[in-house]
Amino acid sequence: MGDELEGLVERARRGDRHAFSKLFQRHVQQVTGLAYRMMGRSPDLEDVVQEVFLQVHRSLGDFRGQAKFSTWLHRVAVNVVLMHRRRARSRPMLTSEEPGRDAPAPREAQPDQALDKERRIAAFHRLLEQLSDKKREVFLLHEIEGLAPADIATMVGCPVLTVRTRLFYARKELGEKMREEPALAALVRELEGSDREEPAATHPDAAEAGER
Amino acid sequence: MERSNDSDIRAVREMVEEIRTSIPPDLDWNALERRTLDAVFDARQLAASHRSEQSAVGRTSGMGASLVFALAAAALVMVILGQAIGGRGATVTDLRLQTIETLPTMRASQGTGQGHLATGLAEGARVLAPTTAERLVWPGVAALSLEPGAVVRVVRQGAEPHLELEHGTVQAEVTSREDASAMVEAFVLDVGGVRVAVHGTSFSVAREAERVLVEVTEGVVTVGPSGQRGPTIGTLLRGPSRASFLLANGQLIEELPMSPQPSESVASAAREVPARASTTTSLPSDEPAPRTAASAAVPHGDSSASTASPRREEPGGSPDVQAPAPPSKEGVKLTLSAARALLVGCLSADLNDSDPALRVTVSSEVRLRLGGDGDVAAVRFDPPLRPDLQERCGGLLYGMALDAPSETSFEVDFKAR
Repeated sequence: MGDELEGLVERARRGDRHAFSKLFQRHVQQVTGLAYRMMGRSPDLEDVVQEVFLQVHRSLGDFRGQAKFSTWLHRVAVNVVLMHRRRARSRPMLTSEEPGRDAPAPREAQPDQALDKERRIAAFHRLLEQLSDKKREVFLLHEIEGLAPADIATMVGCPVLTVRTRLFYARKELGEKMREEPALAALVRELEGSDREEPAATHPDAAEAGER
Repeated sequence: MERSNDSDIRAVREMVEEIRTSIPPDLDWNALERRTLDAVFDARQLAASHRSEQSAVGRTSGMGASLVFALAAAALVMVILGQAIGGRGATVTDLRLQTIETLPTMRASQGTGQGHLATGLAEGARVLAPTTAERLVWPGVAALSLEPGAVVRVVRQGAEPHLELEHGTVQAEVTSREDASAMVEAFVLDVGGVRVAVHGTSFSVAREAERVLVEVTEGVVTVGPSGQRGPTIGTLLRGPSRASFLLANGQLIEELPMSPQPSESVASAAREVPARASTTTSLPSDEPAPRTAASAAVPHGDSSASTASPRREEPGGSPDVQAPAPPSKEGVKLTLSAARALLVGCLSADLNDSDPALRVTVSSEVRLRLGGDGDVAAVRFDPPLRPDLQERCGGLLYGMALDAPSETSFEVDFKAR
């Protein structure tokens, strides 16, 4: 850890508001990005980012500097997001809170392509919501956040093999669900189409034979 | 078919890549920073101000008292204002703290002991015990002692309070209920990703960086993951016992020996527990910690679960599970709700790690026949369960004395996760 960062952490730990503010400014984008990747465009995004920094402040005393601060922060943030999601799922849901039904926020002069991408991402997060907690967690941690199965096993408290099994079924289930989701079905069909075209391109004779 | 699967997986990968490269929305960073820092430093300042005011009280008591009052009133006004103006209430309201002294006090004669009345706290309110151990009381239901520095948030009020421990250590005493409502968890405490659910008992919970320590003085608590609907499913701890759990998900890390000398606050709290609580779920304090209930409910196929099984299955036998020679557990009295939690814990240990492609649901009526001294003499599942499950989980109840009529029954509905 750099001396400057180390100094900031130490001062924040002792209750220096200015030092904690600096830590916040340096890392808030990283935390927001992580929360956004894991939750999608959620009305709770700001609350979760705030909760991460509250948790960071509570736990600064336990940060001993063996790991990089950003690695430690990532771990804290992941835990906060997972806890938030579990809490959100257990609370009675109001119609207006139904996850993922909110359309992407309109942005001025947003190019169609970017809007399509946002729609796809929102739709994919809706599908993620349909997975069981266990499958969704390992999928998010491995595929989206890039954590190794061994680390995930430690975090969620199960054998590595179980993590791999859940990952396998999560991918499979998502793939099947994507076919039924209008915003994503086109992508699956497109990939299927390219699969079909590839052999035809590499074996023109065979294609010709087929036509005859 | 193979090709379809390939394109499914490739489509998933495409989406993963899109998410990984997506740009998060622009937030109002300045407002977010201001709010976060206010929330973080409110707690520190309140505690610090409180300390300095307390020392000032020693010197100029009149002036000090009015300053404390003004500070407390300001905190309360901020909470109320936050509730009034906060759209969804989470950002402003939830993160404001109030010191425990702002709450009305109760005398010991008003039931559940002395302390501050907690029933008036709004859902979402966060309470801090700044410098001394303080006690929150839900009359007739529960009392929660907060160690100095502990912060709790009220998740839900009502007949079964639900709180979250955000920081520090608390001890709880929960009055056990003897009517039909005993089937419902009387008190729920979330600690990160861990849920501690109680039917009637005395216990303490400490939140640490990555783990949660739960110490049960008497009675039974269930510790499992938070955020799930329905009864808490997880590890059963029967007092006196102590164990640590992963903060993230309530997974048991290890069972620990009891603290050699419980803290004074725990001991004094236990003394104040209403007699009703200890009549149904208490253990003699000098009895060695029995591990049966806790270890039998440890998830993920803990081998002790199967060793608790007392009987081999008779081929073609009735769904009744016959009583083995009861282990010596004289003096142990379980409520029906604790018995039910024991069974659900056993089922979850067995079924939660089954093939994730299968959805397993167990729904059965459990009929119990008790002997003269309340010992379980027969357990019958209607409809019957898988024989090995019946044997293993039904068998756990033998040797237990229940505080229930000689013929009694309850429903078990369980969905494997």
